[in-house]
Amino acid sequence: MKRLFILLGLVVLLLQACSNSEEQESKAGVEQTSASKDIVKIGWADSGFLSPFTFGTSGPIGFLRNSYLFDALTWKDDTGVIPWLAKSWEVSEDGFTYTFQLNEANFHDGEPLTAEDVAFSYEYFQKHPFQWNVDMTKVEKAEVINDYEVRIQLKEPFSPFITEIAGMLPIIPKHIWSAVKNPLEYRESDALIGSGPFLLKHYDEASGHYQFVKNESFFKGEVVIDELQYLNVENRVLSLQKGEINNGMTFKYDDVAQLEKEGFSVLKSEPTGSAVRIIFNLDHPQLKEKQLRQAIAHALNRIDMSQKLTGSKEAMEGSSGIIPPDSDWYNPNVPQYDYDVERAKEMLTALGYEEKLELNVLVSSTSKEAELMQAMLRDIGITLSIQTAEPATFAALMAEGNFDMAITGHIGLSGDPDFLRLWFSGQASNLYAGKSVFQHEGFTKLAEAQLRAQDEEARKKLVDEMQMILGDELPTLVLYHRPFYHIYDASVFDGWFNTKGGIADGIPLVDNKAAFVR
Amino acid sequence: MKHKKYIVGSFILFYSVLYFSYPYAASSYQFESYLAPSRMHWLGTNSVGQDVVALLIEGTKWSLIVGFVVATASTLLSVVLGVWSGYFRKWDSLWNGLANVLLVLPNLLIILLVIAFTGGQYTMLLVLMSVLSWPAYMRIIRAQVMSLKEREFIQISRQLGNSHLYILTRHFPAHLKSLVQTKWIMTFRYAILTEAGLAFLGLGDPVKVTWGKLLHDGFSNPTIFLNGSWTWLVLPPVLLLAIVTVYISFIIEGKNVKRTKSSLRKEVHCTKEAGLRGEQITLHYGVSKPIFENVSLDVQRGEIVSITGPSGSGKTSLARAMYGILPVAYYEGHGQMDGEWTSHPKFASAHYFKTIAFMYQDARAAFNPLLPLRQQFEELGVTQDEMNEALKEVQLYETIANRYPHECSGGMLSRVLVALTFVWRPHYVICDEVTSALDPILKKEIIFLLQKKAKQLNCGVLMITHDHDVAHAISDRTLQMTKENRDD
Amino acid sequence: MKHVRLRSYVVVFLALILLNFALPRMMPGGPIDFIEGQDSGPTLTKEQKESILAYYALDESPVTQWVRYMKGVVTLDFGTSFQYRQDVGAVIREHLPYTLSLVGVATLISIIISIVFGLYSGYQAVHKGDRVLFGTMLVFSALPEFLVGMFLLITYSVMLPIFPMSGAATPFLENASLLNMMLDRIQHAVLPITTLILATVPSLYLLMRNETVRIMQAPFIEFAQMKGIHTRTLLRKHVFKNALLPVFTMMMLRVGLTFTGAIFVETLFSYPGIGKLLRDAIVSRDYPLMHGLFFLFTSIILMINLLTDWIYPKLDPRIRKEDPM
Repeated sequence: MKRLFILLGLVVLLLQACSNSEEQESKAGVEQTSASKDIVKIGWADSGFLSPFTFGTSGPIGFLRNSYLFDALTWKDDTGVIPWLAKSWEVSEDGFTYTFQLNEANFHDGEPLTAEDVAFSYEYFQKHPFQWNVDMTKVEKAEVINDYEVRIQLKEPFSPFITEIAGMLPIIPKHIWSAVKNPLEYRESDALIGSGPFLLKHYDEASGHYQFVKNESFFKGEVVIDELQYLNVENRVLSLQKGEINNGMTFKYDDVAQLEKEGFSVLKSEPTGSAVRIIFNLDHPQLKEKQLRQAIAHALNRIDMSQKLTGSKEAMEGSSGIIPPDSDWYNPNVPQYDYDVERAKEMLTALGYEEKLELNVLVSSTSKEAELMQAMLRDIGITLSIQTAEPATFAALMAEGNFDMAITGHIGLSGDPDFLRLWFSGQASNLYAGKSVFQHEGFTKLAEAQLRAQDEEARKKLVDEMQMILGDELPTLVLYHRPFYHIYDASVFDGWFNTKGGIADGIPLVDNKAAFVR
Repeated sequence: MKHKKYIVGSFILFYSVLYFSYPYAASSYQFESYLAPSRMHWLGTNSVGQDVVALLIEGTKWSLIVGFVVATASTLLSVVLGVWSGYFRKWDSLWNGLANVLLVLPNLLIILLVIAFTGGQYTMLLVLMSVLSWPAYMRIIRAQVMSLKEREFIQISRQLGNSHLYILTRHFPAHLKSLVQTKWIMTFRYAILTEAGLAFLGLGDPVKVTWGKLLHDGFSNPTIFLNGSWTWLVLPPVLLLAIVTVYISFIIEGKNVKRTKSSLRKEVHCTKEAGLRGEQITLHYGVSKPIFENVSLDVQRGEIVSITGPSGSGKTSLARAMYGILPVAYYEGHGQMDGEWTSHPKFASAHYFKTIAFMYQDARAAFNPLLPLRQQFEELGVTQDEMNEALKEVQLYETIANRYPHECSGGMLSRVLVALTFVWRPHYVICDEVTSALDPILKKEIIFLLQKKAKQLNCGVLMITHDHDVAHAISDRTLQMTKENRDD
Repeated sequence: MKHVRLRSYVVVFLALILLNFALPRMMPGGPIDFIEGQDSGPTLTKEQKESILAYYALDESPVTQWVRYMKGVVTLDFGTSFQYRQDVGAVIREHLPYTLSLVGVATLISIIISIVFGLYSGYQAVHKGDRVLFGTMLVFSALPEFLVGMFLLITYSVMLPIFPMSGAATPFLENASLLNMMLDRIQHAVLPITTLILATVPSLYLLMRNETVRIMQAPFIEFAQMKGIHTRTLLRKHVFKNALLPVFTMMMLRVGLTFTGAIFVETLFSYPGIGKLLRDAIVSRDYPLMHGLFFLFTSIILMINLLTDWIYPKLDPRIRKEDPM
């Protein structure tokens, strides 16, 4: 008993000591280091070990962090596609062959990055799939022409190749990976050796913090900050306010307004590139009628919804053609579904729904959208029940087609419009349509055709037509386009920019490595 | 807690008035977001334009329903299963085993798992919490039923040919009532708190507005703490939750706590006479009607004085008052020993067991069951030798000191008690019913020992006993107390 | 008696091991569904899915999976975590110390506080009354853990920036002395530990107090008072020991509860312990990690029960006699 008391006393003493002295000490310590070093701290969740085969894929941040370590042939900045590892490239007339001339770059371990490594990477990723959205089935083979020239042969013309494959697939060192048989289990430190502008100095697995330091001999220019940290904080807004991080993303305009008052700068993602949408089960006995889907569109006050849920007056009502209005690929002629309860009621009556219609909506977390929908649909006599399921259950129910409507959020809509084909063709794993693939002959033809389109102009026309069909058929209804607000402390780092078309396959975040390279 | 009915009643009244007369519905999102409190919206609106008072009305309803339903279902389960396995002993091992397993498994883990399966629907939560919360009280009720069943009146009732149903409905409710009440109230609180915790983590039913859900919505938007709107968005549900659960806690504890009166200050002037004296003692236990009035007596060294009387006449309390251990608020008058007031704060450490000792009525109950006898000697400050000497004088081996009380027979313990009483050679000894629990042979032996010891040490002995034979056999004087109009 | 007890533990343990395998697989959706079910997650091609399934060894038959799992239980090797892509043992080892220190320190302090206060309060209740202390504790016993935690977080971290908001240490503290690093860790642990303590103390305190009140009325206490024993000795030697018996069992059960209670606290303060790990494992359908963690939890709880059965006779000599070891 006595010993316990002594222990308790010690603990109390320690606590006192820490609350008295610790604060000044730790503050002094932090100031010292930050005076001598430029450290940017961003708040974001953990994404695991960052090798190209193991980074976490729940959200885009794993890919982005991987891109700090590894480079692809091309990249994007605020002007669009830019040369990266590749100095320049040519496309063959038939769209089958791409030839790249490479910059002289080195891996972090000093070995030169050559055409050998590029060809190796393309072959290696055909055997061991990349974690993020790269469709390697389109690639036939990669050939080395000389040390700094490589030719990539496709199986079929794939117009978004430069951004969707060449702009994403990391080039990995042949001298390390050629010996690795099972890359998913390879966790040695040289699994992180790439050619990128940063090296990973420390990964705190327990807390999910990352510490990147600059690559002193980066091929593309000088890296302007010394250190980049990603901290896995619970609440980004409060952490920003406390100075624990100096860049954090939020969807809520209320947060933005509050922190702007406190002297922070804000960058709004433009184009927004994101959408919150309803997926209709097209096999559902009632919802397969497109008039019902249109009636629902009229019944939902989507402007009000977006204003309430983002807290911002400058809300962006969802485009019926899915591609957001601020994208280059947007077709301004898509059908509009204004908020019109009378119209919606008429349409329901025309369909013969005199009695009450009961539907359910599936959401993956507590969703205010669903609650608002419930209230709005009540006005036109539809009883909506809400079913929550955590992500895995959600996906399983979707895959079984066991739902009426579902609400999901997406990013990447401002990037290459090929995602329209992927979403509705049932080719890629089609969570987004469940088993109820959008069966529309005209749409399928257009989707195939835009893949082979040779010039932008022609492709844009095809994509416009696709949007018209989607807008009329409404296999999915975009509720609103949700802007990302990056709140940051400009005195620490002010070089953030919005990437044109979104980073890589349209990620609307500011965590672009090009921002740190001069 | 006397006003329990009024408090609960007025809450219900206030709530129903509000429920039926408040103009806005919780399901209406038509207002501006984040309006500050005003005459239109007493507590403003939230982020999606719902009226906060309307939400609180709705939330209170669903939160309380959780409490009522789960408490009732879980109490029923406890009672039914408890009686089933305690009274009929059928499937006892099944129910008891199940209860054990459920008690071992952490509830929260199970709830989290099942929610992952089902998505945390409201009714699912109700069922889950009811199913998980019965075991603890089921076991208590089962034990209670088992002991009740063995009681005489149940046995007799059974022999009279009454059916099980009759016995269960006639005799059991009264004995289980308070247990069942406590169980119900505790589960009520548990259910409300658990639901609130789950909803707060975003694991509750997304559609049902409850206090927990309101907190979840509030805390999911941390800027409200920076701009002050938390005072109407978060504070009201927190207060409601806290007030209800705290109030319940006070009800539960109020049921099993009796408050004792604080002691009075007392001035006493002692006479200088020698001997152990009771001066004008009136015993009233702090209530108005005294049990006896103005009793005075004295015991001188070398004499044995007995007090006899039926139980309830207050003779044991008289002895305690004279010894100075009875709270002074319970009686008037005072006890004194050789001119010193026995209730004086310093008296105990100076004289107890040194100049005056008290021999406890029941030797088995007098010893601390968790300490070996040796330690119960040593805490008086006696040495090893003194203890051994004292034990030898009552014909016990020294080794008995190493035993625990439960390892000794009643006779041994009684002799140890005698040894302990006389170890410091006191001048006065008060013996309180020391023979009442003993068989005749042992009784004789202990009385003989006592008498011998008292002679040897020239001790003044005050014997409290209801046994006239004993009193007459050894006493120099006998005082008789009578019972007046008391029957317990 | 002892035998029956031990046998029932073995039965419970075996049942739990079986459940441990079946439960995760009975949940709707698997690890792939989790990846796809994310907002803003990737679109997976068929090849990608197949390679993931093969890598997780989920394309095997349930029987093969069961054999593999049982082998894992025996050798304590549960395989590779889907989410962390690392050995389950290593992942748990990374997080366990945080929870152990949190729960350990909180339990120790809680036990001391509740025993000392409960004893004092129970003694006072019999003599003078203890309404202030008792009332305060009653209020705390009624407040849910998450509210207390949230209150501490908002008050002492956001409004008065005394303690850090989240995490177990300041990330990447460079060239800090060992002492400073220790202090930093302690500073991060203060709020979570305080929350756990505030959640644990009231119920233990109330139990200790009620037991004290009950014991204070026992004859041997009166007799001890008649012996003129000093109050402090009386409380320590006579009241404490006897009141501890029922409280002890409850305390040991509480330790098990505190482990799961840590889930709330770790989530609230993003403290990298196993509670948080477990939640993530359930959500992401990380079967191997779930297996490892459930196994750990059930082992800890059963061990605590065994330990209780083992220590109890040492505290109570009466049982020692009836039930020889």
